Amino acid sequence: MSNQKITRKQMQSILFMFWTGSLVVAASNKEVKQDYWICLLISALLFLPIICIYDRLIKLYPGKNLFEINDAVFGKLVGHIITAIYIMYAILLASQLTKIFAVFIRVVNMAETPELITAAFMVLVGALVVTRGPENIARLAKYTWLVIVIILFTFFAGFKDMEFSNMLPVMNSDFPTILKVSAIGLILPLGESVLCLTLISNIRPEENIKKIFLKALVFNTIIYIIVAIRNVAILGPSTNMYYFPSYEAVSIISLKEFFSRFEVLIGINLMLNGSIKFCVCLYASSLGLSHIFKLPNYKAFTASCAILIITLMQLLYQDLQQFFNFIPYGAISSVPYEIILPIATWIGAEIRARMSSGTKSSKTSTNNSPEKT
Amino acid sequence: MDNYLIIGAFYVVLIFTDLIPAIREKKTKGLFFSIPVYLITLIVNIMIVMGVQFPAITTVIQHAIQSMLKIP
Repeated sequence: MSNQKITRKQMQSILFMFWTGSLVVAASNKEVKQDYWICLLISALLFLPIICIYDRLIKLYPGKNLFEINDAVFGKLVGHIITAIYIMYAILLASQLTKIFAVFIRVVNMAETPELITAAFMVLVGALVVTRGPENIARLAKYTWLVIVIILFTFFAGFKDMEFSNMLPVMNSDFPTILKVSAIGLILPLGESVLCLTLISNIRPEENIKKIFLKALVFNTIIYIIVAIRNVAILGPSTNMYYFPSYEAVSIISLKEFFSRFEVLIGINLMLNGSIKFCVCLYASSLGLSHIFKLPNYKAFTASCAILIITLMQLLYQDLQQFFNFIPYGAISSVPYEIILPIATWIGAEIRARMSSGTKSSKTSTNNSPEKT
Repeated sequence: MDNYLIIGAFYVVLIFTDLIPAIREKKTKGLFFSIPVYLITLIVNIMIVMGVQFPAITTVIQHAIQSMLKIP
């Protein structure tokens, strides 16, 4: 159960890093182009009710993680089935992440190096971090400040290359398209944070979960908007020609004649965020398996999950275009894990809470009845 | 050839750091899951390296969603 190893600030950093881990693929959108920042704002607003659901669940079951809550709400059998679904989701998400980072490194830097070797190193390092405990993931997440500094630096350093007229006209896309892209933004990456609920049992029960999520969401939205504006302002309409627009935008930036090639900072940034996200997914899957097998230590499953991730990674897609085409479908396929299951768990938890409070009050009234006394 | 070596090294590292200690400590419950996973994934990985074509998971999911929601 609870070891209270993660502080409130560390949890905020984990959430921030987890969300920005998708920055490599979610830095622009070809459907809404310069209006992407509006979609990011709408996605953040749409995520607020989900934060309230998370907060209520944690308040109803303090000190319990996602899987323990599922068991408490639905009973052992259904709870274990839902846990198994979340394990599959976490493994699939981690394998997608590994694949995209392996492709990213191959496309931008090391064309001759097999993707498998990059992925193997990433997975081994992630497995090592996870086996050292969730507090180790939290300690890694303290490099949030570095991510923010790098993004702000590239934004201000790129000022002379920016053409802010690229942001115009505002609301050029129709509203249904903006809503569609916002909904995708809600699922990828915001909704994926349901897996961070597996870490909740490691923070103090009296911490305000709503506040933690809200602060991280505000920071994340600001950073995403800064990145979206930077990319469109520097690259203009060609932003959507690139698979990794952040990398391309920053590669243009230079300070005077001698400071250039800042794109390496973006590489570091994306890899750092991606590693945290990978670790959270790996931790969630290992913890879920230990929950199903009733083992006190999740570490027994970390290596097995790492192997599953690296195998699935090779079966995901043949080329990058196939992956980018898959993003809207990936968002649809994630709706059950990220929206439906948390809502169902919340409704179930509320019913259980009402029932138990009803039983308690009826017991008290029976004890206080005149016949008894 | 490169991929054979990478997969081999990856499995060797994990077998020595995870599987063998688990067998020594007789963590039977964990091994019920770990040993089949190691074996199945090893076979799949060898097949991938040998060039056997598997359907892409994303394509399978995409087709399933298209047929469920009747998206052309």
